[in-house]
Amino acid sequence: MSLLLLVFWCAAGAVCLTVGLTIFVRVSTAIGRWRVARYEHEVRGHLTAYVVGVRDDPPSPPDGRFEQRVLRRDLVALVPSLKGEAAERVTALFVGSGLVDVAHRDLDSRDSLTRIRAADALGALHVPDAKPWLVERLHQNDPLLRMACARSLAELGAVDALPEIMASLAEVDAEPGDVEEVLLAFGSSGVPYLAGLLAGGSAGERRLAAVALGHIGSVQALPELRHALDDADDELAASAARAVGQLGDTRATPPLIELMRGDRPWFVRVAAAAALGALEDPAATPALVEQLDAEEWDLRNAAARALVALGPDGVDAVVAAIDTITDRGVAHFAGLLDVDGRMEPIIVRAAAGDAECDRFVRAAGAAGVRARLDELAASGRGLGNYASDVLAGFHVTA
Amino acid sequence: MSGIGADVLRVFNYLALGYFGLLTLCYLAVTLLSAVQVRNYFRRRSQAALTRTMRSRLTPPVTICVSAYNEAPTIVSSIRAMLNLQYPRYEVALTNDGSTDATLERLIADFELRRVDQPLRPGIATASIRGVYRSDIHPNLVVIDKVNGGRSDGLNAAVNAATSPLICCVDADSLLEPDGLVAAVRPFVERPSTVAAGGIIRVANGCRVEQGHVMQVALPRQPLAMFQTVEYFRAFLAARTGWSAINGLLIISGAFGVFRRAAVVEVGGFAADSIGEDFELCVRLHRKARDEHRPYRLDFVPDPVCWTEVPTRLRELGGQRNRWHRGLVDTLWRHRRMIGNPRYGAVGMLSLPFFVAFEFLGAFIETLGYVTVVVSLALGIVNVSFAVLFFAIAVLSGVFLSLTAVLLEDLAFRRFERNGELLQLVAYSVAENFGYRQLMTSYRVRGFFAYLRGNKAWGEIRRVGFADVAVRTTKARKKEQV
Repeated sequence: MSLLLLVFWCAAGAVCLTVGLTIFVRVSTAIGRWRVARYEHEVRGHLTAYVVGVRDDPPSPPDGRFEQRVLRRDLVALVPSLKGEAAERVTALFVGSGLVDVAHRDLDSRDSLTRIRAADALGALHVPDAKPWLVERLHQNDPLLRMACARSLAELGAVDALPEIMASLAEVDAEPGDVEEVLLAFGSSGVPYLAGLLAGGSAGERRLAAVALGHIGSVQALPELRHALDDADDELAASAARAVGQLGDTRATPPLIELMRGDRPWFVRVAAAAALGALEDPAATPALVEQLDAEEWDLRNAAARALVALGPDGVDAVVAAIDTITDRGVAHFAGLLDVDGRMEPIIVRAAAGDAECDRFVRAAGAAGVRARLDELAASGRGLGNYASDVLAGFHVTA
Repeated sequence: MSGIGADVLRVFNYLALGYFGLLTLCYLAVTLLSAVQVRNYFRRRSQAALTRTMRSRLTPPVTICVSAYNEAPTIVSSIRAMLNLQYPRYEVALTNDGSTDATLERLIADFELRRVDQPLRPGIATASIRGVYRSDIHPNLVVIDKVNGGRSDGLNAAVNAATSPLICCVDADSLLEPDGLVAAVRPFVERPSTVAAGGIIRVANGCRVEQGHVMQVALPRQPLAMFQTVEYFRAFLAARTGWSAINGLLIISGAFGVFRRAAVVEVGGFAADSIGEDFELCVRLHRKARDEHRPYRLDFVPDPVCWTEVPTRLRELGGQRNRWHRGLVDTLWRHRRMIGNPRYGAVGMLSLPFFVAFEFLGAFIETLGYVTVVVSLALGIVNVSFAVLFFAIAVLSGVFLSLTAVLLEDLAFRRFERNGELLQLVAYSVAENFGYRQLMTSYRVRGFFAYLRGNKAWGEIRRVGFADVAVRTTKARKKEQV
């Protein structure tokens, strides 16, 4: 019984503690919000007028730590929506209010969220003096602080810090997506480093570099990317294929065709087909038409999409080769063409007497692509007779 | 009563007490893990991070997969809301799962759909497809019309039509917050090994909804919905978040979950013959990755919110809980080899044993506990003060767990601003232990016996539309009795 009583009192104590904590949280948050509202009420109008250039005198620097953080938060929130002089004014205010020193101090705060916010602010507000501080914190134990510093260094365009950033993030096994984001944030200024990484980094780094180079869109690293298409690392080859597709490098068409036709895993071949679609290079049409008969649905799909993306060239290539393509391939291509709203114009051409188009429409219908024919036959419009005639060939009542 | 019988009852009473203690400790441990996870979440993800994800070229496209059955009164507004999400590249793949009402006709009329011959990936076997439709005004909407096969089958058809590497499965009547998708996709951007991520489901009853968006958050007026509000806090914020911290998350709700499409296709999609298809799919994803020694993660993101309407009538709530419990038993039985198996890591050694001990057996032990205390009291084996203390401890442990969930919600998200609302939540955290909890336990016990009888029906939920203008009935997705 005494044990039971003990358990009871423990449970009752825990409930009271939780209720007390809930009340404390409510009250302390309410006080915090009231302080924020009071400060923002005093400052907001002045701040807005200063940022948009209506007033030249900045709001006076806050004294209290709390108010300093509120102002910093407001400035960080403001910056992404500003450009030019307004953004410069915000940075000037940040520096002039002594908030840089506060952020510098906060980088060593015991609270990790405060450290991260300080690092974020220094990057977002483009404080050039912060570079060495941020580089120094790349060696802190907290992986999230390292990430925040890396992001901010990217915002500051600290390209010379890239090797240290990569080493720091690798040390804490940073997630590849996070690293990619940092690399992308450097933009075209990071391309020479990424090209070097692609040529001589570890397997993981090379993949990251290929992805980042494709997204950044700089043509500087195209030779390295084309070279990576032949790499034995399948992931790297696929990433490089996507990258050259994004960059629109038609010199990569022959190696991409080779990659698509080769015996690499399906995802590499699909990436190559999709890249050919992105390049919209008519030179790739025969190879893409071949792939309409591929065993793998995804490869067939990528090839069909690429041909649809090629526009009239793609359609003409398929129409010309219609007798050599299996029903499955015709259905896939015609289906995507229909989704793209381009089946009806072909039917119009067929009805007008274009023999090749007529063969294509009939082949597509035989392969099961009949939605437009059904629609036209039911509509009774001018093309209805033609559609009915085609459908009659499949013993379907229109 | 013989001496031995009395001893047995006494021992059982103490065992039941120990069980309650253990259960409370385990839930507390999970809640603490949740608190740490929520804190880490806020360290990692700020509004700036979401903005970065929105703008990032690395953010993958998503297909929102929906299965609709007889949703004619609300389907158009639901889909309109889905087409207005804040996300860089996404499409909506909706399956009309053999509706017998005007669901398809309304979609055709409102979205100017036209039938197309879009090739569908033959990844997962489904019931026969009658047609695929695309919208002339919304190029990112595809509707698949198929023969009725149940919710899982409908979702599988949508997965086959999906063209994105990620799929987001939602209920046709769920309301996603505009930036919910961005937050839910974030784990996939950060970690390529993420195969699934779930978000919080909140109770929409009581909220003001306009054009498929929650405009004003408020607590429900109906007591039954209030109890469920507290329950949802406990289940999502204080439990699933914690399990995801150790990669032991077993449920990503069918009402809102993002999955890597290839992973779902690889394991065969949603099990059409399962009554708890969301739970079952998650366990299968764990199993496959663990069997093949692949790095993987099932994540739970405490921030992205999906709002759903909960039942407000006892009969419907009973049916829902009965179904959930049948789903639980069914999944545990299907994957019984994983339970206690170290090969399956945290899932085999912690999550599944926890579900067996507390979610499955809990209903029986709790019921037996109440019965034996009453019997013991009647036979004079225990005195009144023991019985009262026993009940008080059971109640206090329940109150404590609910309150910690409410505290976590208030600390992290504060969706209910007014102090009166907080007070209501606290009051319902206490009140749910007097009748509601026991009722839910009885539904779970009944669910077990229904499972043994082979009942695989979905039950019927009558919903009052979010706009309070449409009263509709989601008819039972009739399935064959086993």
